[in-house]
Amino acid sequence: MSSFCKVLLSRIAYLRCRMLAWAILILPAVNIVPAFADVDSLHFSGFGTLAYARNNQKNISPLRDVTQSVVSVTSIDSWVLDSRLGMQLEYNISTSADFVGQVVLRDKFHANFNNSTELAYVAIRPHSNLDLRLGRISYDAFLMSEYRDVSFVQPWVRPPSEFYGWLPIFSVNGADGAYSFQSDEASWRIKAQAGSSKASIPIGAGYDLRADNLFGVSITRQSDSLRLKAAYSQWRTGSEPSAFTPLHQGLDAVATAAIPGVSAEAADLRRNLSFKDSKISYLTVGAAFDDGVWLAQGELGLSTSTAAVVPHGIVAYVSVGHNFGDWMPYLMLSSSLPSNDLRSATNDWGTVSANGLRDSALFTVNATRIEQETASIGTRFQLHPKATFKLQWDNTTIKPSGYGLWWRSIAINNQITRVNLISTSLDFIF
Amino acid sequence: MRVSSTIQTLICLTCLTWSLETCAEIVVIVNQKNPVQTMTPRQISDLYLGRTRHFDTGKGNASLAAVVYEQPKNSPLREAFFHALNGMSVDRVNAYWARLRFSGEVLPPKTLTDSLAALETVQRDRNAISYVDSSVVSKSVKIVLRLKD
Repeated sequence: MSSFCKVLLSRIAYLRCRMLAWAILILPAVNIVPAFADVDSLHFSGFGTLAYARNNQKNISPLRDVTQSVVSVTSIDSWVLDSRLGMQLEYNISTSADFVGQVVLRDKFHANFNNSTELAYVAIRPHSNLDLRLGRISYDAFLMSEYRDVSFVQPWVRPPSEFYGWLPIFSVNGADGAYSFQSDEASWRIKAQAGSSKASIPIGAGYDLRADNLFGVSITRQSDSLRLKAAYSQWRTGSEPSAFTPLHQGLDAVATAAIPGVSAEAADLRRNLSFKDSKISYLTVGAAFDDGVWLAQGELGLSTSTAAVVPHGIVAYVSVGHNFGDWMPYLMLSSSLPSNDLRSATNDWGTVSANGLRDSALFTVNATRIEQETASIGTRFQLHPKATFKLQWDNTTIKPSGYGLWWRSIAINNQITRVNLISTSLDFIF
Repeated sequence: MRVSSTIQTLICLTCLTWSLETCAEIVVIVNQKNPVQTMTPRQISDLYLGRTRHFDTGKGNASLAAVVYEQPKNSPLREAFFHALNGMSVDRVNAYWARLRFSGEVLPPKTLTDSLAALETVQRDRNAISYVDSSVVSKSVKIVLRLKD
């Protein structure tokens, strides 16, 4: 890439960060809310986070989620890792129909208006127990997957990366239906959704991930202080990263060369390096308890993929907090264990002069594994009924070839790294 | 001397007002044509937290959709209402509704300007439910629950 392009790209990234920072600072202060609030059927509201994070390693930088823009590995601090601003417009069409639109500005690879629009749907209620939504709707897979951008409602600076960081889907183009009912002392909600989704991921010059044939079901039980949720979701990847094309072509050539052992290994690597047509599934159970004094939350998830290159495995976290007036100190432990073993060479490809190709393929298939655990301690302070301040310290241990959630120097790929990350945030709603 | 007595009077009036406000009874009201006669705090809490959207009119009766109306977000009446109803602080209620609103799961109840507006709205709308200070309530609406903070 020419130096001019590098300067231009860094300038664009800089301007985007400045626009986000100014929007976060200015928007809640301007007098937009009362103007809309007086109009009965139209309501404008929003949420935001202004956050700063700093880590202690000069060869590694954290990701909050895999759709974020490329960051230099030498960068040790960031204002955009967790900062975001969401704006929502609701239009009450009738007593049984609404329109909701939501735009979220956050650090994103290839951000534009289309992929910043998280919600744009029409909701109808044909019966008081039944909700139907059509359009761009929230992705319902985990306990917090429908509101992971809204830090104000979460105890922590960010949802645990081990659980939410590798999930590329934020919203779904499609439809969902939810049936609610009361039983004993609890409310139940059974929901099903179907559709497709897209996300831009920074692989090579950019990978437009297409999640096709997406389908999910969930059941939620809410009693006074306890919320329980179980969910299953699956989708099929409909696109391939163009950056993988030379690798795929090379592996295809070796696979068809009919060399004993080598061709079978090449075919296996080719299959496991194919995003396209791989089937991904998530199965999760979660619980959240909040009685105003104690807060406890945990989730356990199992994800599967038919291709090793798509991150998958067992993920879990548990967190406990206690309210002391306006302060709530908390602890959290989270972990991600990949289901796919670390791959290594089983044959010498020297007969086709392709040991370099084999090593590249092995490096790539191992590069997306996520194997790490984090212990976090922090506190939340209720500044105002609509604003909180948080301070959090994360200590993360990343296992060899488990760096899928970090921008890192290749030199550290085969070693254990411990990272300390200090984060602070101001979260608000308006 | 005169300034001092004025300040004393103001302090007394403020204390009296505060005392009346914090001790006042809150009544939950529905339209006179609503078949529901009484409601439990739990039933009302479920309506105000978006967990149900209809009145429990008894077995065999057709369910009646509920349109829930809220008092202004920062009003002391709202704070006292939730405290007396289910023990939730306004901070928790705000966070609860922010989660539902921004996930698109359920939209919060409509907010009215004050108790008089709530009274007028419930008078007009057969499906409405709201709460007011007992001092403003009239026979034009039906009281289904009395709450004391």
